[in-house]
Amino acid sequence: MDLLPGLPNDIALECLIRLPLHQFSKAASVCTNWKTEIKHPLFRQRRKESGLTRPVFVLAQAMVTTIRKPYGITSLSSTQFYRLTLYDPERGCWYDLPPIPELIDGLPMFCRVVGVGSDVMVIGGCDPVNWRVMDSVFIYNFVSGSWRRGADMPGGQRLFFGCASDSERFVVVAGGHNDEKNALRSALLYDVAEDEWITLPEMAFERDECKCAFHRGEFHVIGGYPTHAQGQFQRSAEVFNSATSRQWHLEEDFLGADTCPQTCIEGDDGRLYMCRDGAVVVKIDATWKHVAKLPGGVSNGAYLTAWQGKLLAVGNSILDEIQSSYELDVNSESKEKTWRKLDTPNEYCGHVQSVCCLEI
Amino acid sequence: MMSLGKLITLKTNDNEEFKLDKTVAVKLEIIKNIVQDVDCTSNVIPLPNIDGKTMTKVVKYWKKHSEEGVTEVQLKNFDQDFLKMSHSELHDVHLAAKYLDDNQLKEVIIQEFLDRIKGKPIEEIREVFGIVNDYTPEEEEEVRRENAWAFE
Repeated sequence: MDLLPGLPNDIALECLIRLPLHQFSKAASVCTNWKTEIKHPLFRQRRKESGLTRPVFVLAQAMVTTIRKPYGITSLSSTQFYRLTLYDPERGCWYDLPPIPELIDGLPMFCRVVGVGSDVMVIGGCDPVNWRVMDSVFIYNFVSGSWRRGADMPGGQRLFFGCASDSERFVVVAGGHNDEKNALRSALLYDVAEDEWITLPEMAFERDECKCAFHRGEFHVIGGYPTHAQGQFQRSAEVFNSATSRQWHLEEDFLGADTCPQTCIEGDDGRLYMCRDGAVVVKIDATWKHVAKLPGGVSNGAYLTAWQGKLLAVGNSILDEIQSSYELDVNSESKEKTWRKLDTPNEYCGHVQSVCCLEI
Repeated sequence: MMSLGKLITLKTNDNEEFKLDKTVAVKLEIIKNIVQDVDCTSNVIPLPNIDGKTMTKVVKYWKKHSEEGVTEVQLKNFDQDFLKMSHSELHDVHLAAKYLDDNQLKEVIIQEFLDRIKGKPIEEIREVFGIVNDYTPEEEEEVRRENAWAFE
């Protein structure tokens, strides 16, 4: 097919991949050939290989309201209304993503946000008004700039599950608990290209509030706790390789401590990082080593994400419910690495429920 | 390998010859790769894939960009003028730049094509490139409804 009549397709492609992101949906309406090309998975691959994509973070974040107190003092407070926000670390800019048309009361509480290819998925959670558990999947595509519905998550009610993607095509949902508050061993694989859920074999252990991470080419379901030991986090992980096998493989002492795994994340150096005891630690072989103390502004727990040799910590201090964001250069040579506080406008200081990083 | 003397001659497929002196040749790292394997005692480099008309443009570009003391502004103005070509002429220069492994010139041409697309109304893009709109009115409406957003 001719993208530009009379000109070879390699010239046309070189041009199209260089278009700025926000012009793709317009370019797609020039003709069907352009649309087919722009929406093809290889198109994103080409942009990535040519260094034209960039990492952004998408956050499920509460709206912020200003509270007026006596003596003219005002303070900021998170509302119960969550929406998706986007942080562009290269430009230091924050944006709101368009709202999901069907969800006028905001994002589901405790939903999970995960990035796959040029898509952001919002999976599950509770209805913010009646607290009904939802099995819905909403997908925002950055190329078309529009929302679509994915197939509903099968297998009954599931909340506080772990969720991770291979960044390209597959998403794993694992553990959590069902409507009777029983921790789950079950896990699911979602194929974004086919819009299809596949039931995976059960894991060896029940894992409520576990964390999923895609690490060295394999899905890791990390920690969590069983029904009979509420809140007593386990240290094992189960590993699954979607390309080679359909079996889980147990790693007994993965976390090295009985700790909440929520902040576990793979850095782009292929190592796992997490927050523990007020510090960021990194897994080197079987042991977790100190990287840096967490800044005071996020001492009360933080979300961690990684990009281009850096870590982003979003969280709040004990004194303040408003979130701050800090970045840390992991590769810096200095002995005690220092965090840089990001300049965040007030409306992007709301409480964060879920964070993901994607290349668009 | 040939030694770069005072002059090199580039000979196109329609036997046009371009003599380049050493100041321009300094820029011709790119040529080196081509002639490395060729026994080039006469300092004449054949360019079997490029015609004289296209090579005239390429040489004009090289000469300007290796001019001593040329300013950024002058180069910008030159490029602007240089790129006033038809699509097919641009394509020919792109092919030549590709053959000569001149990444800078290649990028300049791609950027020019890109500028003829970027930010232009859909109708203008179709008209400029002779693209047939093969959407039905309903389909076109559907595609347009997918809203672009303000993230830039």
